[in-house]
Amino acid sequence: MKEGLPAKLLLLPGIIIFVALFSFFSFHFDPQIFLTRFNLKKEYEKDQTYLKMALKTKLPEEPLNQVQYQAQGYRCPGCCLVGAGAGLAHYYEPDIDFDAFIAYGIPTIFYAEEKGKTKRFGPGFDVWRAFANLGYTAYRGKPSPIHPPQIIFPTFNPQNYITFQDKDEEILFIKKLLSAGNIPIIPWGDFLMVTGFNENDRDNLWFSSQTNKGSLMEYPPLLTNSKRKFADWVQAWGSQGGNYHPENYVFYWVEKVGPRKTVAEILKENKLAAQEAPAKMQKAIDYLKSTGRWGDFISALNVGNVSTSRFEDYSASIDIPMTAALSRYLRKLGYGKLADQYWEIAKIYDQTQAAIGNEPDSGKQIKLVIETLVKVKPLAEQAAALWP
Amino acid sequence: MKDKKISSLLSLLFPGLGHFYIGKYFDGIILFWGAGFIWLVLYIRSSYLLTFDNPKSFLVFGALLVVYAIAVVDSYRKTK
Repeated sequence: MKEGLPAKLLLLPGIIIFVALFSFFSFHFDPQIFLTRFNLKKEYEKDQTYLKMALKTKLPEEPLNQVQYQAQGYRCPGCCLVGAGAGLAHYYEPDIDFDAFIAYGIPTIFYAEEKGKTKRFGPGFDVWRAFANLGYTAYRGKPSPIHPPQIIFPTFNPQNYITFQDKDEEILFIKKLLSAGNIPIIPWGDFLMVTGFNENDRDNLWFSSQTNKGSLMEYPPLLTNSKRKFADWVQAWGSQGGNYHPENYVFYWVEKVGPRKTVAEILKENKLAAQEAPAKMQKAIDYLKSTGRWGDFISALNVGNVSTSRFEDYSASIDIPMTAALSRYLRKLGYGKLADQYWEIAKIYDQTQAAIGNEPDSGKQIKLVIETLVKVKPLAEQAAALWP
Repeated sequence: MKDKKISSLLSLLFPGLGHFYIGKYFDGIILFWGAGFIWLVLYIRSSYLLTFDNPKSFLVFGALLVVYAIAVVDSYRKTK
């Protein structure tokens, strides 16, 4: 009796398994990112040369011994980058408050994009779009040449993703930025502004604050800054979620490069996006009903998705404060009916978040998100018709 | 008589298949589950491991290559 199974019986399943694994691998693997890993020096030199040419802020040769700024972050639980960004914008331009910053970030944008490996669904408010519309350009520093796919921050100039050699070079650069009056934003659990340092006292390091408490429907207060220790910061900065987390040693900064857009221009941009939003919401509903994943957008940045060319996520965590802020902003401008409409939408998002907070099952969470979008879509359609 | 090339090819398609072909079922099961486990880890942590932004990526892929290499070489050697 022959030993072993016949080849014909094993060949077909073998080929199927091989093709399935090959498809999975080729879908997820990005040769460009793989090769970039081995081009660290080249990428570093390229980025640093560009930075010297592009940066308008005049950095000192040596940083000051001590600086401290009273820039404060807005309370934004679950949307810390927005809180820090809005606080920074308000510090640079005091007439821009939280609501105005949100309006400049075009909160009516709703994504429903599928391009090859990239899928993005959900609210499209973008901190860097807000800064761009206010006349700023944004930069991101990291000791690695692997940067987010463009769909994460569509208005971010990809050339402004700057590779640094290591954290020590970054720390020196951050001190020079602060010495020149430029306040960077770093991740430390939440995104926070670095607002001050003292070389004579390394425990005298200042950051803006954030909290995970508070209603997202209310106009947020500015939070009192916190004093932290240098060693604690560096340790936390380098282990956001492990030693090789893609957000380790990342920092952002902005600089003014031109005038801000007018309120009329911002209203026009919001109107266009608002008119496109209902159809995109329907696409998002269909996506979530079929094979959709959803998750907190900011968390999606932190779980490695930001380092791949493939991004696939839906987020709902930023929709409440953005919609509530837009409502308040429109009310201030005298568009009461439109403001009421967005307030109703904000209340629905708020109810969903409360329900999702109590629901551990991700399948049921997706169901809640779908139900929310189904309720919001007709209101969004009515809102689209009310824009001036 | 079993063919050495066929057993190697089957092992290349997926570790363990070559061993099932030549009747080495115990070895085949070990290699099959070993490779299956590593692929499962890659599937679950794809966005983290496929960026090669950290040494764990190279470790996991190295382990996968070793399992495939052992499967191919061992099934070739043991084929009579």
